[in-house]
Amino acid sequence: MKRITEKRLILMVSVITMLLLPGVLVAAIPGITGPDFSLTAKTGTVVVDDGSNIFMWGFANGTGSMQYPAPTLIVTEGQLVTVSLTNQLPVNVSIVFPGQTGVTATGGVPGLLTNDAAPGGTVTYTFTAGQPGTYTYYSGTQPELQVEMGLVGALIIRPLQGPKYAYNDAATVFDREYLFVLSEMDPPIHVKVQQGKFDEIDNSEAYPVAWFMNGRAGMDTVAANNDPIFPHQPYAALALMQPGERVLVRMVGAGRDLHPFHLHGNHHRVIAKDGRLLKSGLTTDLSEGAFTTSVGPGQTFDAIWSWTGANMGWDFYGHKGPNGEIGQACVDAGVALQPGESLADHCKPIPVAPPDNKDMFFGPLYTGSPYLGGAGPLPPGEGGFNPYGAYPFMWHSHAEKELTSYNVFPGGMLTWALVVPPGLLQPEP
Amino acid sequence: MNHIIRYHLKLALILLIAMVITAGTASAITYNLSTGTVDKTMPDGTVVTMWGFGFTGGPITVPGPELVVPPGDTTLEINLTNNLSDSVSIIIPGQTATMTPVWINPTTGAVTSTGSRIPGDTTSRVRSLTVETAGLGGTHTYMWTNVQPGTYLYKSGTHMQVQVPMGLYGAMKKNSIAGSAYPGRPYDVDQVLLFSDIDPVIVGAVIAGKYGSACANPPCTMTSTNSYKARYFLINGEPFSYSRSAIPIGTAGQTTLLRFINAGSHEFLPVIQGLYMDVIAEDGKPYPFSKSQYSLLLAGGKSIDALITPAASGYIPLYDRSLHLTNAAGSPGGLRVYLNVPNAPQSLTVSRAGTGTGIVRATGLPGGIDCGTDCTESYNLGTVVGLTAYPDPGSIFSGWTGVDAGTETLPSATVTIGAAPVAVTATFALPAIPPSGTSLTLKRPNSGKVKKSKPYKIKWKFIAPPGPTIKIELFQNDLFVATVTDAAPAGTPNKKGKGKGLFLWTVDPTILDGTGYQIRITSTTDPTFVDLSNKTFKIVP
Repeated sequence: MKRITEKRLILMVSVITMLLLPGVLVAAIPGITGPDFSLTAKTGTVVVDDGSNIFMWGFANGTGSMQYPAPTLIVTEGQLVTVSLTNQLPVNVSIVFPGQTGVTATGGVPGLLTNDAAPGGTVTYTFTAGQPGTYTYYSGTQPELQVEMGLVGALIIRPLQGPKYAYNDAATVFDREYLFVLSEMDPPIHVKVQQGKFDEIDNSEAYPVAWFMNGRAGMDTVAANNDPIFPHQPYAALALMQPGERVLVRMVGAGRDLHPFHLHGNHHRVIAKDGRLLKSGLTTDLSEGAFTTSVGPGQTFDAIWSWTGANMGWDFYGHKGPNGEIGQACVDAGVALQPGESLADHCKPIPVAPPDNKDMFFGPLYTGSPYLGGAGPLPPGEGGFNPYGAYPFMWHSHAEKELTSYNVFPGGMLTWALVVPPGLLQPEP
Repeated sequence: MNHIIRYHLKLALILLIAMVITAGTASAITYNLSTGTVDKTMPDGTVVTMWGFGFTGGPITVPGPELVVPPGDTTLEINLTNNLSDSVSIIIPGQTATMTPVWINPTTGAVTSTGSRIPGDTTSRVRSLTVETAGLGGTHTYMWTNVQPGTYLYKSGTHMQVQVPMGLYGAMKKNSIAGSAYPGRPYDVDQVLLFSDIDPVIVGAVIAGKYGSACANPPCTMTSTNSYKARYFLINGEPFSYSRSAIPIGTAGQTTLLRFINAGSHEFLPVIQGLYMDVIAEDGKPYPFSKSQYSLLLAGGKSIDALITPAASGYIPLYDRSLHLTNAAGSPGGLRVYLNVPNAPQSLTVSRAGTGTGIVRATGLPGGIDCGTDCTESYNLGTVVGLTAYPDPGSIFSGWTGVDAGTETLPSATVTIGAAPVAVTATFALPAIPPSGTSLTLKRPNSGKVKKSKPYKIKWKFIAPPGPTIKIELFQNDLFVATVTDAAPAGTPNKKGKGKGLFLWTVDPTILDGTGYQIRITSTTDPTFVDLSNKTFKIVP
């Protein structure tokens, strides 16, 4: 693992500490539920992890601040959804809903994909939320500029089967869900927009140098939801889960480029694309196991990811009997199985003798123990960045250049999935 | 049977066999293609001369003609005549053929071998994947046996990094049986959507003989395609512009097969709006199970087949979500089309009238009108066409006739298509110049001179609020010269509505020194607020 500067990790440990305090709920995907929504297109700024700002156009919830990405709209299939768009930008704006059928627009002026709201004007979109799944929405007016400027977000349609299902299919049940909206930006275009120099913008030459997950770049992805440092970027991209849990990973391509989304720690199973289950008829399963999913712009994917100790060959909890027994003696002593363990590896110690500390070079997340939730002696000044002994797995764009912000690593499209010891996270409502 | 009838039968049989022999095998189709140059005009007026295929004796097009291999035919022959100066060839990825690569000496360009490199030769490079057709009238017949059904791209197999972007590509298709591209997947109507792109700089260098490390017309300005930068993006040979017509497909309830092919240098990501595609095949190979998607990852060289069955008539937007939606820097453009599910179309014709000038565009989907150059289009029954009038600098828009009630005075109006043709008129006017002393008065310049060497304060006053901004235009001898500014802040009215404003004018150095100049100021929201310099002034250095 590449060396990470300490000041970036302070963010991380503060997040982990805060989120893991007993009684703190781990949020389901934050968003607004409507089904009547009022969005305003307005200007704002976002913060890149080097501390700089980028001027944005984005959607706000009602009279609130512009946010990037746009508010995640969460509805249930069959609901009649209305989205009223008020335009406070100096140009026409609109919203299109790929994957939805029968979207009607009232008010506004006819545009090339739907009705636009003129500056100062409004338009209302109405549709019946179609099949459940993960979808995207964005401006249909000059999208090559307006999607770049930030007018893009996610739409989630929950199935009637229940909020812990991705689709009306028992196989899509999950314990926890996370949304990843992937995008990139060419900041000089934003500067020209801010200066009103639209004639000097050549969108065919867009060249991104900043990449984002849920609107945050680099280590900022792990700061909490609604962290006040990011008044226009309310969504975190940190994924927390416990061993054995089924995690639904919703992926949305929100920029203009394709991003190879690479999830360390285990394969994931892609169960749906563009809001449609990868299944034929009732029984033919077309889902795919992968460790990288190429998320193209405008596309969506749903995947199930899980971490267990299967096939590790050792007990990742480091179970021992009451008198320190390991192996069969520990099993015979009746030490209980914990979530995510495989019976075959229960009580088996790690089959290597850890080297002496003086022979090791430490990553900042090493606890001194190889076991989940464990801790061990570390030289002074090392460790402390993984207080609950989680197993961290980087989830990131595998186009390595996209792990930078303005050419500086770490940055860009990266975040972590933390497998934390069981009992630390509340179940998702 | 008597011997005369037997003789006639024998003759008939001989004639029949002769006909079959001269026609070739019964299961072959033959096309005669030629290469040549063609000028393609982009919507922004740029003319790009490209290379392309055409049926021999017919026009050269980019993409080249669609080659159809009937379901019963297993052999495709192309008799190629190459009128370009460079050698070319034809390959069809996905269809099997005997390929005989052509190797060249990279320094001299001379052919060193065909088939394999000579043993011991480690420097020759492949110029062509198969047999070449020599330039300047050379001919060759290319043949594919056991042609498989599906959607394919034919293209030059010679110096491909140059010749394919130059325009040497086209679509080839074959059905497994009539009405079905693949077994069990019938359709009513099919439509090829061939995506491609153009780098006018590299294409221009090739045409001018300035491409390559040893070019025909030195100095060689472009030695490789490393700097390939597409500026124009095309579907079926045309980028989007307001005048582009929608592409007709099947009617409501019919199944249309969309045959996507990408001859371009980028992957593109077409998305369809309002319905899902049933994606059934890739690279000419049917999937065992189809997939329901609204997006396609269309990599370079790829073909993807998808069925749609629109439930209602209307226009279905299809556009590139990787946002190649411009013509160079101009918008809208690029990879955008509308699929027309037709229903009782009527024509909409736009005329322009009045003393002023301007243009009218269909700015609502599906476009189709850009008047001046394209003033008429057919639209389906019930379509609400959005039209916008754009007055030229110096003119104002004064109203419509023939548009939907309530939109007659708005610069953006709607026309709802009914059961009869519609005629619409947009009127542009030159505003009358009122005498001084009315609501808005230009205080300077009214005479004298304006120096280019330092900014000049244009000043005005008003006795009633003229709105938020003032447009300032420069005339010379009553002819429009330039817009000084589209929107200068007009100035804040006091309690009585009176006020004044100024604009700091830095004269553009390209404006010629001389006499006879006047400034005209006009409110951007109320054209009755207008004034003109009382007398002419000079512009001096």
